[in-house]
Amino acid sequence: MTARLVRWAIRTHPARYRAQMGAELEDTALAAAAGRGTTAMASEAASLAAHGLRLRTGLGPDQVPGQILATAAPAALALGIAAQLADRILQTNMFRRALSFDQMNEAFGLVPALAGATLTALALAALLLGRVPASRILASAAAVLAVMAAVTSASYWSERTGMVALPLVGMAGPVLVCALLWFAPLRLVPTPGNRTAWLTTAAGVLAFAALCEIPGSNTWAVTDAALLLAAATLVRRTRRAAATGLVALLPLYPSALQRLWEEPSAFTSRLEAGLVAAVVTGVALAAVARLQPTGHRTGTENRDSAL
Amino acid sequence: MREPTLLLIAALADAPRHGYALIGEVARISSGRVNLKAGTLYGALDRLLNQGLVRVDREEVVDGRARRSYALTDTGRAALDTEVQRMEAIAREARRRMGSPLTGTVGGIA
Repeated sequence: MTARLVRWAIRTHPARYRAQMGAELEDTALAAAAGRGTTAMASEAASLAAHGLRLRTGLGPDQVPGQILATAAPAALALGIAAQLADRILQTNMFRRALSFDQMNEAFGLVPALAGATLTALALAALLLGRVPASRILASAAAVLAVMAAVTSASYWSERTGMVALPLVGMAGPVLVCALLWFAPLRLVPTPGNRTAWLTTAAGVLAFAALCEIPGSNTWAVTDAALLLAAATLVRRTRRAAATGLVALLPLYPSALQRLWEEPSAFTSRLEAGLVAAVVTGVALAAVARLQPTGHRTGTENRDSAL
Repeated sequence: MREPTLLLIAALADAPRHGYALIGEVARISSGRVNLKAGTLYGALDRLLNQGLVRVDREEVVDGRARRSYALTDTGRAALDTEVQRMEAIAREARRRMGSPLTGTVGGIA
C-alpha cells in the first residue's frame, strides 16, 4: 500500500523525466523510508509528488517561474499582512459607532483575522530567517484563521443581507499567500538577505499606510500597479522583476477584483488613467531597452538562461 | 548557498555516491539534523546538475534497475572550497572574539 503511494507520487513527474528517473526515485524513496513506518513512507511520497508537480508546472528552483515565486514570497506575505490589518482598521473605524466590539467581531471576524495577521507576520519573520517549514506551517495556520473569520462573518451577513461575497473575499488573500508558500521552491533557493528583509518591511509599511490613508487605493492602486507591471513584463530587461511584482500583489487582487465587480463605474476613470500610464511605461521601457548596447543585452540573456 | 545544498555538495566531496547513499551521508555529516526527503534530494540534484556543479558519474544496473552515481565537477569543488573558506573565516573570527579580553571584562562587570 505505502509502496503504491510512492509509485503514485512518481506519476506526478513529467513522462520523460519519469522514464529516465522513475526507478531511481522509487528505490531511493523506499530505501529512505524502510523500517520507519507508514508516516515516513507517506512523507517521502508527498515530497516526491511536490517535486513532480514542480517539474510539471515549471516551478522548480532551476526554472524561472519557480525562482519568481520564491523571490515574491516575502513581499506577498508583507502585503498580505498590510491588507489584513488595513481592512480590519477601516472596518472598525467605519462601524465603531454603530456596532459593539462583539458585534464587529461577529460581522468581520476581528479576533481570528487579527490573530491570522499576527501569524502571517511570524511566517514572514520565519521565512526571512530561512525557517521555511515553520513559515509554511504558520502561513497555513493563518489561512485557517482567515477561513474561520470568513465563516463567522459570512453567517452574520447572510442572515442580514443574504450577501456572503465580502467575507469570502477577505479569506482569499491569506489562502493565496499560503498556497504561494507551499508551491514556491523555498527550501532549495538561497535564504533572503538583509536587503530583501528591509525592502519587504518597507513595502509592507508603505502598503499599509496607503491602504489605510488613501480611499479606494485597495482597488485602483492595485489595478494600476498590476497594469504597470504587466506592461513591464513585455520588455525583456524588466520582465522578471515585473513578474515578481505581479506575484507579490497576489493577496491584494481578490479585494480589488470584488470592488471592481461591484462598482465598476466608480473606478472607470482610474482604470483608464492606469491603462494609459501602463502603455506609456511599456513604450518608455521598450525604448530604453532598445537604446542599450547589444553586448550588454546578450549578457542578460545568458544570465537568465543560466538560472 | 542553503544548508541542504552545502551538505549535499560536501557529501560528494570525497567520492561519487548514489541517491540513497547521499541521504545517509547528509544525515551523518549534519549529526542527524538534516534528513533529506527524496523529492528535496532530486530537486537539489536537478539544479546542481543544471548549474554544472554536479555530474552523473556512472549509471549501473542493480537487480535489473538503473542506478546513477553522482560526483562533484571541478566547478562544484571550487564552489565548495569558496563556501568552506567563507565559513572558516567566520568561525576563526568568532573564536578570536570569544577569546578576546573584552569578553572577560563584560563577564566581570556582570
